[in-house]
Amino acid sequence: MRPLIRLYPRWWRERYGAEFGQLVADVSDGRLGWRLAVDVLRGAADAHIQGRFGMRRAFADPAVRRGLFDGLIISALIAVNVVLTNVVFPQGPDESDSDPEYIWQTLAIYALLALLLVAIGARARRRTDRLASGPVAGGVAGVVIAVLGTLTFLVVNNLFLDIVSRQHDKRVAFAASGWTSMRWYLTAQQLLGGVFLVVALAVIGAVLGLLGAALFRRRYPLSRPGTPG
Amino acid sequence: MSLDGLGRFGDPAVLVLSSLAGGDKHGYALIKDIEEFAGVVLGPGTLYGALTRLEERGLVKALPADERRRPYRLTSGGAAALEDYLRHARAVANVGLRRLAAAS
Repeated sequence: MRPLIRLYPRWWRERYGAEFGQLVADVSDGRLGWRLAVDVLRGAADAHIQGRFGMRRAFADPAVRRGLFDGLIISALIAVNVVLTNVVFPQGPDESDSDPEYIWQTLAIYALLALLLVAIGARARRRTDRLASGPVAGGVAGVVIAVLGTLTFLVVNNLFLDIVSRQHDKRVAFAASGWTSMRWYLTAQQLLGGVFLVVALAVIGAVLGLLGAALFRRRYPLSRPGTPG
Repeated sequence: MSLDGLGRFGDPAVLVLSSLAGGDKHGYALIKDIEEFAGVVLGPGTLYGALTRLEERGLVKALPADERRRPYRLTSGGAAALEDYLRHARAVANVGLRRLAAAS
């Protein structure tokens, strides 16, 4: 039986190995049945999955998983929008982000994002019945959106530089910047903006998530085990 | 505190919490007690999969080991989560039984 227990990850064996070994010895009474072996093997596989990346505790929180999952979906939608508006249907050479048409579009996107972050907080509250789950889920979603949004722009700017660099606002800003390379200028701007965006969206996501959690709560304040997180 | 997100360890977790509601127990005592009151025999791997999660969530706590056997205790959060779950399960069971009775 000892070789089977060695299949568990080190962190698990250090914490539970001795007592688990004793239990297996008590249960098996010296004989290793196939049912017991399969159960121990499944337990070892589960412990590896749980312990992956050393983030067991974080991922054990349903609010964190809610924020990650919803943040990924929103990021995917944003990525599609970024490609459509910057590559497939780019602005004309004389159009600017400050034109009323684009200002309204931008405001609408921000408003929609705010509503989604409120909804994420509400969903986390309904899932766990804890007010604190709202800001956690909203904050995590905000960070995911900021990181993946920044990565999306970095990829688009570098892969489609010939299209992106024709944008009026980018040309004007680049000309005034003193940089000699449009590619490096855009990358640097994006990275600097990304750092600010991560902090800002973490805070905004947490606040809006808290708002959602405060406004909505689950209909029945009860728990059901065994349901997917 | 809740029992959400325990996946396939949800049912074993309820059994473990219910057993610990009757007093502190180590692994072997848990398995025997659960077999007695629920008719379910948990394997060691399944039991410790549930115990690991319950301890991470603060629903049970480990006590000092007695040689190689370590007893576990239900925490106040664990008691609250178990009570929530059992109340919900009872409400669902009541509805199901009423509807079955009405249909027959």
